[in-house]
Amino acid sequence: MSAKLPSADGPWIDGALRWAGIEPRAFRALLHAYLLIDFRNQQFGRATLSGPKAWVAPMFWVVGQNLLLGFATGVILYERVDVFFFALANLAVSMLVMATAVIVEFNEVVLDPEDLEVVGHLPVPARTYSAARATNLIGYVLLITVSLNLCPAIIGIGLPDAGWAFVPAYLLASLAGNLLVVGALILVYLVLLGDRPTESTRELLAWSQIVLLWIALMGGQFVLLHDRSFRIEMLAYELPDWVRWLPPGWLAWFVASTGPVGDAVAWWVPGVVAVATLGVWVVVMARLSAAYAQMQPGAPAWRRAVLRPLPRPGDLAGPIVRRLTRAGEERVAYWLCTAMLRRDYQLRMRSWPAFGVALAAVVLGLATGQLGDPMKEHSGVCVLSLAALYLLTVPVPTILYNLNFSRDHQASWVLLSAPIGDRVAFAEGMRKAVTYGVVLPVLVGLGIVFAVCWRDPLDAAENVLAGWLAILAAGHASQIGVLRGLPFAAPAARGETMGPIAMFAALVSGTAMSLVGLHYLASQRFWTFAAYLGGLAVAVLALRAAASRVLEQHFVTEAPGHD
Amino acid sequence: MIRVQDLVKVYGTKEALRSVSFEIPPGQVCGYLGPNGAGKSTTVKILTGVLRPTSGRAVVAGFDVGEQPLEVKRRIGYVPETGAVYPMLSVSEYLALVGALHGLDPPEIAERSERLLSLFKIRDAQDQRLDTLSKGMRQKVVISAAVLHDPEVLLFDEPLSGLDANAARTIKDLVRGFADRGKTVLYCSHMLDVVERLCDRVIILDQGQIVADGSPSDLMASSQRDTLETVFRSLTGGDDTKELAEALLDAVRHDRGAAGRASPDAPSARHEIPSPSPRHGKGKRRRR
Repeated sequence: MSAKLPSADGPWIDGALRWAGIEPRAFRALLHAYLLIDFRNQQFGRATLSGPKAWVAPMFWVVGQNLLLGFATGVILYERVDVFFFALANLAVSMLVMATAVIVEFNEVVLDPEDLEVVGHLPVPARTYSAARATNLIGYVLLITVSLNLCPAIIGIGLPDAGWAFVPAYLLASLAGNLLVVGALILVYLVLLGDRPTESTRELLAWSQIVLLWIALMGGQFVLLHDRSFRIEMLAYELPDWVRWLPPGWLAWFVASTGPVGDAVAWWVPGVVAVATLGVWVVVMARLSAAYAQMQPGAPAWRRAVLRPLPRPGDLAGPIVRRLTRAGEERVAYWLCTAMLRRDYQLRMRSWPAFGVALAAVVLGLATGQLGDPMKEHSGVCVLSLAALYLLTVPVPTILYNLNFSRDHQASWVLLSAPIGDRVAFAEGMRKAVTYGVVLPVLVGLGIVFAVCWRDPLDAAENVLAGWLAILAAGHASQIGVLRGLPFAAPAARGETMGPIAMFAALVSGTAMSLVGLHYLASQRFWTFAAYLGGLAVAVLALRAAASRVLEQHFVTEAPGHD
Repeated sequence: MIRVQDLVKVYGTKEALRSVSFEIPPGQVCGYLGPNGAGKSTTVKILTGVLRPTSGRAVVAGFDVGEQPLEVKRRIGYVPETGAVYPMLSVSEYLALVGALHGLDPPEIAERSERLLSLFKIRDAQDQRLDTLSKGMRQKVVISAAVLHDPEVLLFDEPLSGLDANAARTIKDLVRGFADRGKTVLYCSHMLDVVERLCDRVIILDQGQIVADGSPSDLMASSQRDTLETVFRSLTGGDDTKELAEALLDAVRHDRGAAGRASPDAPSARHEIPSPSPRHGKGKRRRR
């Protein structure tokens, strides 16, 4: 019956911890618990039939995706650029992904106010808590760093101007860069948040992630474009000077300096970065301790809120929603999901970044003059308009899948014990909450941008109609692919809310890109475009019928895994 | 009416319920007791249609839970042990949600919610988010939601948890009132004095099996005990509680001593023990 706690480390480690003001025993116990939580994930266990101690399953998605990303960037750049640009691009991607991961999971990996309810009453000094959190976080950074940079480190050895020291130098640079960026990021957030996160600053977290993704994906768009003018090579050889002064620029310089050609190795770069990282992390530890000490258990002040009264007492839906949804289960599901999407900042943080790709296409299109009207421009200049339009299908499965998870999953008994007779209608309400409540307003906004840019509202409306049909199709396909039960019934565990949906989202994204090509070809003549719209409408109806059948059989309204 | 026949529930290799059978007629308040892990909550979850039994049959309000779970869910009111709610909803939104799930019309929901919230004296909080309410206030909201649709069968799992004395009295009167109006009430609780006064009948469960079934007075008479608590203890192996408490005290004393001797952390751990407040200390000195 007794749990096996980690054995005591040597006396010098305990002594060092005590010297730093950390209780060794409490530190080890907390760290042990955090590692168990990280590696032993119940949902993954259920999904993969792995045992409670199996550690491969929980890390599969996070590590697997990072390995794939690192492999992809490494292969794209291989033999096209020199070692400096290769290291610069891969280090920049690694730092961006690392920063994004920390922002998305800020509460889980940095400072969780709910920890106080578990450990707040225990005699754990603030510094010990923050040290355990920080050590857990450093382990997480190590894992992400290695998984992101292993492939580029191996691929990079083959570069003509890379030396034998490329692998250790690159891995050292990536670790130093990631630790620095994470430390700096936490510091910025702890200072910005004033040790007490508010709703608005949490919203800021969500938006900052979207901005990070924009930056990352805007670079990635070059790969999507038909690259007749060797943009990557040109970018590498005509790199603006200011890029060399960014942290990835310094680190890439260090990596390049270890090669057989060039000046002496720039050891001072990792030295400066190490000192800066150490300094940042010392301040991070102090700020984390202060933040933890100042938080109070119970209902925190920032959560006190009085909500706007319902327009008609007892009625969940306003006049617009009553028109969009059928009474009963569909309307209830629509209202619940839209309310949670509005109020649950963590759900928003998991949902909004899915729009990043489409929005990046719009920004890039506006910046490069490639947001053309496909009805008039029969060339590559309208590719980004169509990409933006069809990439709005990607958030549909992502958000719909994320509706499964909630920190308040224990309240799912409310739905589980309720008489939900029409499960298809309930799933329809969930779908409409995403397509009508979230994606449609963005699509309308995109239509307005098109109408202004093209100075032709009719063309904009016709294109937006095609996009809307694709979004409806994605909604029904997602009902088949990812919707399996009542919403908000599973805990939002690390990696799970993003990992398993990646393959389905990639499938939707791939289909969307195929539709971009079809739309482009069809828009050259009126009758072909009409036929294309008709084809999309038929696909929507077929997917809707298939979704109804699947949901009728598989949409679960009972407690998961308890049968 | 609730009728349970040979109900079995197995989690992996653990038998949570072993062939449990009982019947509760309309108008009766039945206490459902048992030590922790005896299978009470599992039974209630099966009766609410949240869990499926491994074997056996449960009929609630004339409908088989396994075959017609929806008809059962329409006729029950449930207050779970956890009392968990969606904290981001307001009180009125939560009641509107539950009312809508039970198919009530908005004006009906509004009228009933207002009446229930007024009775519980929490009407002023109706537009407050649930996570800003105290545990007791949230429990009042959960109970209001459970009775909002005027159910035929009520399943209460520790309903008095977190309630003040006045609210607890109201709930007890409410439970009695429901039974007097012909409704069936299954009442799970560890507060044995409340069960003794409130319930017409008591079922005691131990390790997934029924070990006693009868009115509180009959159970006390047949076992020659003067309170339901002593009956419960004798049936569920709790007679040796005093010895157990002493053994626990010994274990704690032993552990602390051992830790104090063996652990290098002990000196710093002592710093975490809250020292008496200065006022407290002064008072002691004065008395001396």
